Amino acid sequence: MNNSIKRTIVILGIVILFVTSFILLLVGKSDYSSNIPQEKKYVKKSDFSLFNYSEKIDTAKIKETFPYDDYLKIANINHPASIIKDLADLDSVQPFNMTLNEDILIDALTKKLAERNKNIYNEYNPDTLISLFQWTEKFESYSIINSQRKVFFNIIYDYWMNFIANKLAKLYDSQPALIYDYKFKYLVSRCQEKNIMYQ
Amino acid sequence: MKILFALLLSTLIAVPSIYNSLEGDKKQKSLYPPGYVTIANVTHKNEKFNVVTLKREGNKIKAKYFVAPMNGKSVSERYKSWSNGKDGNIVLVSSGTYMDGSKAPVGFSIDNGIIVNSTLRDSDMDALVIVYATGGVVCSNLKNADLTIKGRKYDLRGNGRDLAEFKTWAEDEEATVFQTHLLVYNNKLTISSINSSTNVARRRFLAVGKDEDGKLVHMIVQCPNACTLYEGANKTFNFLREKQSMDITFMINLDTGYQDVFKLYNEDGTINSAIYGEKDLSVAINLLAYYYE
Repeated sequence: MNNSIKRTIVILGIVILFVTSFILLLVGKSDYSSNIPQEKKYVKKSDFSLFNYSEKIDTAKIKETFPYDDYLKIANINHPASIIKDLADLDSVQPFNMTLNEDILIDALTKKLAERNKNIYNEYNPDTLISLFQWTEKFESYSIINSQRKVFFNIIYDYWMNFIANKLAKLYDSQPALIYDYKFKYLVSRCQEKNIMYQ
Repeated sequence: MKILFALLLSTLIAVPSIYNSLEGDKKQKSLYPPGYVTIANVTHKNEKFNVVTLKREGNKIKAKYFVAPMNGKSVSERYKSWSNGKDGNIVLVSSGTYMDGSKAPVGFSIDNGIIVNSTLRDSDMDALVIVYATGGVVCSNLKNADLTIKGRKYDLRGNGRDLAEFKTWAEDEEATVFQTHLLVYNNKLTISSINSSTNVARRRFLAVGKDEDGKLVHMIVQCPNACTLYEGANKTFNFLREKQSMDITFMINLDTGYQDVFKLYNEDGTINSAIYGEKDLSVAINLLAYYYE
């Protein structure tokens, strides 16, 4: 074997090594795990009753005096059936404007909840987003079952689906390599099932 | 005698079919009458612009938007079927909003009441465009929460109930809606050089407003020289204000990226190459057409 062939083999070897390293670097961040978080089982928290707050709630200024923080901390917001019960309680505390009562719980379960958890959602944590998706999609089912509260559940569903899609869009803009991430792809395809496109 | 009879018979058969085919050609070419559309290449401050002016006065020039595949037909197939039924009265067809990696429209989009993308983009895409069945096009600024339908204002980003009611309205009324970048709104440039894309490309815009005689016009303006979205919007804004004396209600972007689709027809039905897209019609996942009726 003459020197030029040896040199060619060495150069070829270096090139192959370089290309392989580059490809590995590109896909290095891929997450091939299939451990999608299981949907949380419903565990009932201690009973939350709006009647315990009847002294603090001023029915004339109910939107301002509603105990949003306590509600989000104590109430069983993981279970839409409990939310319906809370809504019924609110209707009995303030029976004059039921749409306003719905709007109060909508605010609590959308903007106030997002504000409360903003630090959790700022970083890319796919498990958190998947759990949020699992929680959100229940509201779609409830909107189909409960025609009386259809709009109420749809508003909460739309808010969080928009939130997830816009979050995915921002994450993708800042880290385009996320399209190789298994859980990111999983979320994107679950969103697409529901006509929610992230870009 | 037999030969003469055969000749006579074949003539009798051939004449109607030739007549029909000529009629067919005639139908294909029964295009839009003069006076409604102006196509021009204009230079302003050393910048070239390809301009199509569509006069909406009298509601003869109409817009139609396609974004949902239906009955097994893609958007381009739906457009082709529809345009065949229009006997060639098509003025132009263009890609509309952007397409994502999965070939879906970017931003909120509804076609005849069918929701194609339910995501309301929350920051950069402020134009919510409604294409009415009457052929009119209106645009609201989502940032201003000024969408008004039948006298009622909707804040789609800030109020969940408004968004839910708007969706119900769109489904009930079989409305057609899409979301895109808002570049000019009420004679003000709404795009900034700081937070817009730095990609350089040929740019194409749809501007709607009033001409110097106060008449409603829709204008397609193409900047043939590659520039950023901001540069293109800025020079087109200045061109429309200074050279065309246009009172601009809104100006939006038309995609010249992944789905650079554009076909422009002359009054006689021939293709006008003053503005053209680089991609085939089949690439487009959404199409905005203008036609005469």
